[in-house]
Amino acid sequence: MSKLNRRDFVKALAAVGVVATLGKISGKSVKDVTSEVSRKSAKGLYPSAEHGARYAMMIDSGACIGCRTCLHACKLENNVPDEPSNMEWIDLFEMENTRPVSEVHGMPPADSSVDYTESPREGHWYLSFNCFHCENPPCTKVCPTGATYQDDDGLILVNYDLCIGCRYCMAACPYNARQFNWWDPVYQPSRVSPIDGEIVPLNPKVPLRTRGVVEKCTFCVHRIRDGNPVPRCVEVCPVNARHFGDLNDPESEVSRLLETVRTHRIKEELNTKPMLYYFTRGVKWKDDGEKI
Amino acid sequence: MTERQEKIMRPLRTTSREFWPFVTALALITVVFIYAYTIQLSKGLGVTGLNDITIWGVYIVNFIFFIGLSHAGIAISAAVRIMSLHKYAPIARMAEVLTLASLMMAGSSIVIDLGRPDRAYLMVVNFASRIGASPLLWDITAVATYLILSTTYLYLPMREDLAICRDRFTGWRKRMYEITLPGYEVGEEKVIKRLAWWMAVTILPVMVMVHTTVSWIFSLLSNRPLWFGAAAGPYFIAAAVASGIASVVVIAAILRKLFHWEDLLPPAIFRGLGNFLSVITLIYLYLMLVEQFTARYAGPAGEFFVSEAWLFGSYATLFWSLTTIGLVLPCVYLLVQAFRPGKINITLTSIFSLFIVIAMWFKRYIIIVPTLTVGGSPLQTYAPSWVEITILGGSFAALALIYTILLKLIPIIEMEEPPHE
Repeated sequence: MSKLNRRDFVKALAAVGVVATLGKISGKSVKDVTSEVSRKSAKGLYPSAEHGARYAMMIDSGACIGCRTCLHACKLENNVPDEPSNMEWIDLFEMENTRPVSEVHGMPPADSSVDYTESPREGHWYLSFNCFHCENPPCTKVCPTGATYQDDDGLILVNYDLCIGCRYCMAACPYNARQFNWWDPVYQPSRVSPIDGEIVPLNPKVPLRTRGVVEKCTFCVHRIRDGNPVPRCVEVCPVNARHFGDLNDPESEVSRLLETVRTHRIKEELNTKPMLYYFTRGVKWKDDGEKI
Repeated sequence: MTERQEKIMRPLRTTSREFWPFVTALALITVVFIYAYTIQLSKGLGVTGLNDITIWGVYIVNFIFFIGLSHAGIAISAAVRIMSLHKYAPIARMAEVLTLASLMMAGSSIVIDLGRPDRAYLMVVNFASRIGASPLLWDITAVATYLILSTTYLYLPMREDLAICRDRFTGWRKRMYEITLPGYEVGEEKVIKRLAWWMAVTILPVMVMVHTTVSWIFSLLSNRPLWFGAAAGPYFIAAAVASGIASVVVIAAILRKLFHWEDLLPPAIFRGLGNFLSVITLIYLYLMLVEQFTARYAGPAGEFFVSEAWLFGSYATLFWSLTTIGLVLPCVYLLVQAFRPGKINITLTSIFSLFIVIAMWFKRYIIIVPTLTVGGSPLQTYAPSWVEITILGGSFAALALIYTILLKLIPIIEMEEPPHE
């Protein structure tokens, strides 16, 4: 065997590099390769995805009375930290015509059903945001470690063990749907449910986060992949403003709604193809809870 | 040893009385900086003024700024080699050392910004699967390449000078220089010169791409007004070169005064750098103008409101002072100087250069913060906390400290007499 000289060695090295790169991406798009790795590493954190499902949420912004029941039910369901960040996976804006005038926080009275003292205020309507679970997500693309990824059923999830806290996904998200753990997560000793006033312990099905990682709405992945038909926010809404289901199932609630009501999606021009649809049946609520 | 070599080695041989207080001050500020960072490490990024809307602030501004500074070194010294601009040879190494020091600070700025710096290694572990997608990873790759290339590029031609130092000193310093010179042979300069020329050819496009990828971190996000756009690369490069060259002017002027290097660093160098700086600042002002013109004439909501915040809103004072005092005024002065024959005022040139350096830091702040704050939501604002301000000041002290230490260890000017043109 002849000795390898330096020139040949460099050539061989270059060839190996090219072949390895081509082999890695041949037949698959970059997106496939990257999300495959992320999905594998996140195993155990969430129940595995149901193939062929395409989950979507529809919000009836005309029906929403800004009561924040969804927001607090979500906090309890998903172990969202209370203090000091006061994090919320659902953002609720009080709107005047087309502009948000304030963000609505705070726990509604425990014994209330639809009768809230602070909302709805006359001349206002309410727009809530959570993660849009885009079909073409800008956030998962930019992640340097693959911590956030798109699963088989379209859900955008975060593997909290891989997140390095660079917050690039938050910069890329057009909807400000992501939250960062600026401090150590703190849970109030007794978390009171807004539905029945009972004390709720931490949910064992939802992994706890650490300081320095990004989190966001998961469409209650632990519920919908585990036999429960809808996320917690949909379940608790007192005015039935939230609807959820599988778009690939023609019999699902969202599929039927999509055929019958006029919908729109936010920032459609960014080509993110969000899975959160807004619609209204054209009614507004007055202070006394009557329709105008 | 020639008189020129003696002069260049003055900072290595003698230490003035003012040196130790100066270094101690820098070291103290650096210690405070490290202390502030440990507070952030133990409590979380909540100690900053950042929030879920304004997710990036001073640390990312620092990152862009330091990457910008790093461009001067290679730009100058590669230009000297490739285009045989021997006039500028005396400042080449000064600029390269600045490149090295500021790249270190840029790297630490990114780590400081991470919520989980203990997991930074995951970017390496998952490199193969993420490099196709994440601009942040492209940038880290580019910066790492740039750091390795520019360190090599600084080191190889310096071996000759290190050998002179080795022969000149005795004791532990001799041993130190011996360690830095593995396999040194007399007469290797000839080969190294050819090598360095080719490295310069390679390193220039790398330099262009490093700042382009920095701009891509921001300009590829379609949801961020005044970040998103195809022209971000040239815009960032212009800022980088302007701040880089300006800081080299400042450093060269300080060293000239400090070590009485009036004949080693003739006014012609400052005239040339000043001329170049005036042109690049003019180009930058022009890019600002076209950017604002597009944002305001077409006026899509995002761009328009961010532009409003820059020009007339809560960032107006900062914007107009950095534009007029920090960019227009120095640019006018340097242009007038460029068109007037005869002597130049090195003091004024370096003061105005310093204005440009400071303005470029604040310009990066204006680029990063309003887009997030204004474009994100009208309901949240950002002001840097004391931790961020301490870390900002500390980064500059650390940069100066690294530079000062290197100044004491390596000859900051190439010993070889540049050929006369």
